[in-house]
Amino acid sequence: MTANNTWTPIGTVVGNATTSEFSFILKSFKSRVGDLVAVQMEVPDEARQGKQSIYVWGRVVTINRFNPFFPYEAAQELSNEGLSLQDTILSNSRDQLEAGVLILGCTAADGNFKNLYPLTYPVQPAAEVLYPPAKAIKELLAGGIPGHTPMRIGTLIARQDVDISISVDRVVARHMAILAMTGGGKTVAARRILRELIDLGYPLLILDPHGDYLGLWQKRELFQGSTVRLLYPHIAMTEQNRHIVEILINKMTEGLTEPQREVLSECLSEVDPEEGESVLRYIKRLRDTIARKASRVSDRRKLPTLSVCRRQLGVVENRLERMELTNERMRQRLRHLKFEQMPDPQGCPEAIISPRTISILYLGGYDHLTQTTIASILLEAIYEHRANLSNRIPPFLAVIEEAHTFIPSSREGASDVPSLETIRKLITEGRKFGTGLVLISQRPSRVDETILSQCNSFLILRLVNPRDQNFVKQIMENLSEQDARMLPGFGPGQGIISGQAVRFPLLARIRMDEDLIYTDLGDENFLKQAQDWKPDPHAPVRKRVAGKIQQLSRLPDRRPKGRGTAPKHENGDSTPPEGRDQSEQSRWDKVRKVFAMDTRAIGDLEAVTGLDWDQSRRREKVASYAKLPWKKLKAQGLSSHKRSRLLQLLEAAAAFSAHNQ
Amino acid sequence: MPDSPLNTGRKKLTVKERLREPHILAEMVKLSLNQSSASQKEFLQVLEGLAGAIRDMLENAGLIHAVEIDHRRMWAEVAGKPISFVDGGMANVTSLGTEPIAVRVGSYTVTPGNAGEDRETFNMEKQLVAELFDTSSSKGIFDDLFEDPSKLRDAARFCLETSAAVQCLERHPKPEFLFLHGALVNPVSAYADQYFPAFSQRGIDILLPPQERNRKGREATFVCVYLYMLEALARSGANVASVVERASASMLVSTTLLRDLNKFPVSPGATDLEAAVRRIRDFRIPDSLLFHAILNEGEYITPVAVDRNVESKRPQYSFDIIGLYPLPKVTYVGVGHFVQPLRVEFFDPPPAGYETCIRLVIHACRLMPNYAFPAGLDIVDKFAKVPNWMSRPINSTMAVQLLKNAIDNGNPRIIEAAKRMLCGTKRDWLFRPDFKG
Repeated sequence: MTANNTWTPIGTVVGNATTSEFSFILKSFKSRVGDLVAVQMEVPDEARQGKQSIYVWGRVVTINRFNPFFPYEAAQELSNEGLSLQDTILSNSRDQLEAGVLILGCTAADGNFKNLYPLTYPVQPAAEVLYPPAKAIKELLAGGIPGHTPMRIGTLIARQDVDISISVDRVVARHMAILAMTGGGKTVAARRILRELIDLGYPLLILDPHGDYLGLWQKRELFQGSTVRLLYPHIAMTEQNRHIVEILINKMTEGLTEPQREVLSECLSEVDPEEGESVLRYIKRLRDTIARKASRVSDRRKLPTLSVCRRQLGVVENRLERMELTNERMRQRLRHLKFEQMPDPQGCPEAIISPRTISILYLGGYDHLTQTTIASILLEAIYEHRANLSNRIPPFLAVIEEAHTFIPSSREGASDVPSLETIRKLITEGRKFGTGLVLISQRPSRVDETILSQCNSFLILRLVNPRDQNFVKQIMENLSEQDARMLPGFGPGQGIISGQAVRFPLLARIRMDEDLIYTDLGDENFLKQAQDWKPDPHAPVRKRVAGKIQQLSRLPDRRPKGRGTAPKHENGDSTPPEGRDQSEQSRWDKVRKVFAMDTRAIGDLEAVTGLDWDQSRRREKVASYAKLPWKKLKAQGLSSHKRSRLLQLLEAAAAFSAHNQ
Repeated sequence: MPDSPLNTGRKKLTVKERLREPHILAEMVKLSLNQSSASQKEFLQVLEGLAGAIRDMLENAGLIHAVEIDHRRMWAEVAGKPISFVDGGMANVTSLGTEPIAVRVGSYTVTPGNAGEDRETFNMEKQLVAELFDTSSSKGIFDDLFEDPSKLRDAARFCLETSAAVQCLERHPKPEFLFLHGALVNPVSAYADQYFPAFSQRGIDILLPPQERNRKGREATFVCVYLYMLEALARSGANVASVVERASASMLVSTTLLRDLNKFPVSPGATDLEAAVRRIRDFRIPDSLLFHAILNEGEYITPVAVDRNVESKRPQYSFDIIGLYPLPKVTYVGVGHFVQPLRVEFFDPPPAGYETCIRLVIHACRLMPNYAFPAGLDIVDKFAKVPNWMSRPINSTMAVQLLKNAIDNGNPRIIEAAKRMLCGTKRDWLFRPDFKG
C-alpha cells in the first residue's frame, strides 16, 4: 500500500522535529488525541549511498488549541456584561491546533508495514502529515509479534474502526498489570482478557476478595466447554503441610520464640492430621492436646511454654473461626451461586488448575492477613507443582485482584505479608514454568514496586491520584510525559496499553463484554437498603432472653442434676459435698499461705502453669484471694467450680515454684 | 449629532482629581523631566489650569459629549452590519537599508449578531516583498542612496494601508464601518519633493485599480497616488475612521481647538486663547496628556479639522497637489481612567454620525478594558503582524544577495557601501579610518 488518495493530508510539520517527536499544525476537526498518523519522507538508505522512502508512524499525544485573536481580558468583559461573543466584534473562528506526535517508528513506503524500525533520521520540517485509512493501521498493528496468538481487547480510542489486539503469549507468560482507579474499567478489562483466555481454554485461577468475578459462574453457559468453579477457602491439613500452623501463628499473632517453636513442633508431630481435616479443626485438636500435655507434664518448666503455644493457637483459632463464619454468611447471601470447598492445592492441584477450567477463589469476609495467607499457601503449592516439573497441572494464569492487598509496598509497613514473597517468586521465576500473573489494583502506589515492575505489559486506565500517576511513570519506562498527563482524563474503559504485549504503546478503548455483566452482583444500593430497613424482628426476643439469662445468672449456682444437688443456703451459694469441701478447705489453707504476700496477678500464675482460671480476673492480685480463708472465699460469690479451679491454679503454681527452687 | 448628557454612568472626576491619579502623574513626570527645573515646578500648575479652562469652555460650548456605555444596546444597534478593521505589518528588514519593502496589510471583517460561518472573514489585502519605488531613473542604490530610506518605507506603508482599505470596501458585502489603525491622513510634505522616487510600475499595479495604472511622472509619485486613494476612501459612503492609541508629542489638535474656540461665545478673546496656545507650546504639553486631563471615560470632543500639511512646509514641486488633500476631523475619546485617550479621525461627518462611530470605538475598547484599544483593530493587528521568524529569512536572503552583487561588481566603493548597509551602525570598528588613511 502506498499513500494515495485515501491517505488524507491533515496538517504540516512545524518547529524542530527530532527522531522521537514532532509537532504539526492540524486542520480543524481532522484528528484527535490517540490517532495514529504518518509522514512520508526520504531518509538515507542502509548503504548511505542513496535515499529510501519511508513512512514515519506516530501517535498524536497532545493537541493544543488556542485562539490568538481572543484576548483574555475580553473574556472577563463578556462574563461581566453577560454578552455573547457572537454579538460583538470579537473573533472566534481562527482557532489554531498544534498537535504533538510521539514517533512510534517507521516502515517502508512500499506498503509492507510488518516491520517497524526505529527512526534514525529526523522528520522533515514542513512535511505533510497524513491520516492513514483504517486498513493501513490494521496492517501496521497486525504486524504484531510473529507467531503469537492475538487477543482482541478493544479499539483505538480515536478510531473505533481499528481493532487492537495484544499477544496472548506475552500476557500468560510474562505477566501483566491492570491499574486504574475505582470505576476506571479494571474489571471490564480483566473480563475481556479472561474471556479471550477462556475461549482459548487456558487454565485460570482468580483470587477474588470482593466477589467481582462471581458473575462468571452465573454466565458460565457462555463458555461452552469450559468449567467455572467457585471456591471458598479451606486449608486442609496433610502430613506435608503441618508447617501451615506455624505460618498462621507467625502471621496472625506476635509469633513464637525459639523454645516455643520447638514445643509446638513437638506437639505437631504428635497430632496427626486426619484425612481432609481442616486446619481449624486440627488447631482445635492441637490445643486440646497441649492442654492435656500441660496437665500431665512432669517438667514444670515446660508449663509456661505450653501455655503460650496454646494461647497463640487460640488466637489463630478464634480469627479463623470468625472469618469462616463471615465468609459463610456472605456465601449465604449468594446462595444462588454454587460454592465448593477449595480442594487441597498440595494434594489435589488438578482440581483447581486444569484445562478449560476457571477457578474463582472467593475471599470475601477474611481479613487482609488471612486472605494473603490463604493466597500464599495456595499459590505456593500450585507453583511448586509447576516448578518441580511434576506435570500434574498445566501452565496457568493467576489473576490477583486488589493486588495492593497481596503485594503491598514496603512503604505500607506490611513487609511481612505472607503472599509477598510467594508472588515475588512467581513473578520472577514463573515465566520459566508457565505460571503467569495478572495483577489488578486501584492503588498502584501501594503495590510493591519491584514486583509490579516485573510485569512486561501494562494496561493503565484512569488514574487520578497524583501518587499513583507518579508511581506508574516510575515503573513504566516507555510511558511518555504526555501519556502520563492523560491518565486522569481517561473515561471508563479508556487507557494506555503498553509493553511486550503490543508493538508500541496504544491508547485503547476496552471492549465491554456486556453479556458478562451480572447485575445481581453489582454495587449494592445501600441507600435503598437504608430506606427499606426495618428493625430486626428477633431483637426483642434476643433482649428478652438476655434479660432472663442475666436474672438466672444472679441466682446461686446449682449442681447438675444427678450429682447430689446441695440445698440452697441463705447466702445464695451452693456447696459441694461436705467431704470434698473439707478436703478443699484444708488444701486451700495450706496453699494460700504461700501466696498471701504474692504481688503477682492471677494472669501471671496462669502463664507459668498453663492453666486457665478466669479470663475476666487475670489482672486481679493473687494475694487478694490468697489472704482469704476458705469460708470468706466462698462468700466472694465464686461458684464451687471456680473455687476448685482457683485452688488447682495455686497448687500448680506452688509446685512450679518449689520445683524451681 | 445628538447632544448627550455628560453622564456615562461611571464615576466622573474633576480635572484636579484626574491629575492626582497615579497613572497620569507618571506621564507628567516623564514629560516634565525633559524640561528646565523652573518649568518642572510649574508644569502641574500650568497643566491643571489649562485643562480646567479648556474643559470649562468646551462644556459650555457644547463641544464635550458623553456616550453611555451599554454593550447590549450598542451591539444590537450594529447587529447584522459588517464592520471592517484594517492594519498593516512591516517585516523587520532593517539591515537592507532602503528599497525592498516587506509589508502586508490585512483586514478583519465581522458581522456582529451573525452566528453563521460567514460571520467573520480575514483577508490579506496586500502582500509585498519587493521594490515599490522606481530606482532605474536614479544612479542605483549602491552609488547614491536616497537621503532618508525610512521615508520610503513610511510612504509605502501609508499607501498600502489606504489601498487595502479601499480594496476592502469594494468587497461584498460592503462594510458599513471601516476602521484603520494610524492617522487617516498622514503628513505628506516630507515625501513630496522632486527627489522622492516615483512608484515603479509594479508598485502602481499593486496600489491602484486598473483604470489608474497608466500614471507617469509626477502622477506616479507618492503624493498623487496617496491622494487618489484617500479620495476614494472619503467618497466610499462607508463610515470610515482611524484610531491612534500611541502618545505623540503633537500639539496640533489642542492648538487648533483653542483657535476654533474663538468663534464661540465662551471665548475670552483671541489674545487669551493665543496665550494658552503659547503655554501649551512652552511647556510642550502634548494633546494626549492634555485631553487625558480633560476627558472622563466615555467622553469625547467634537472633532476638529486639522491641517497636517501646512502651506509653509509644502514643497513647490507638489504644492498644488497637497492643497487638494482632505483635512481630517480629529477628536480625542476617553476610553478609560488608566489609559490615555484615543485619537479618532474622520474625513467628514460619517453617514452614521460621529456619535455612533465613537460609541462603537468606545465599546470595542471596552471589550479589552485594560488595553483600552478597539478589539477589532487588535485582532487585525495580530493577523497582519509579520512575525520575526518571517523577517529573519528575508533579511538573510536579501543581505546575501546584496553582498554577492556588490562583490560580483568588483567596485571597492560598492563593496564598502554594501558593508555599511549590512552592518549595524556607522560607528562600527569596520568603518573607522585605518592607518593607511
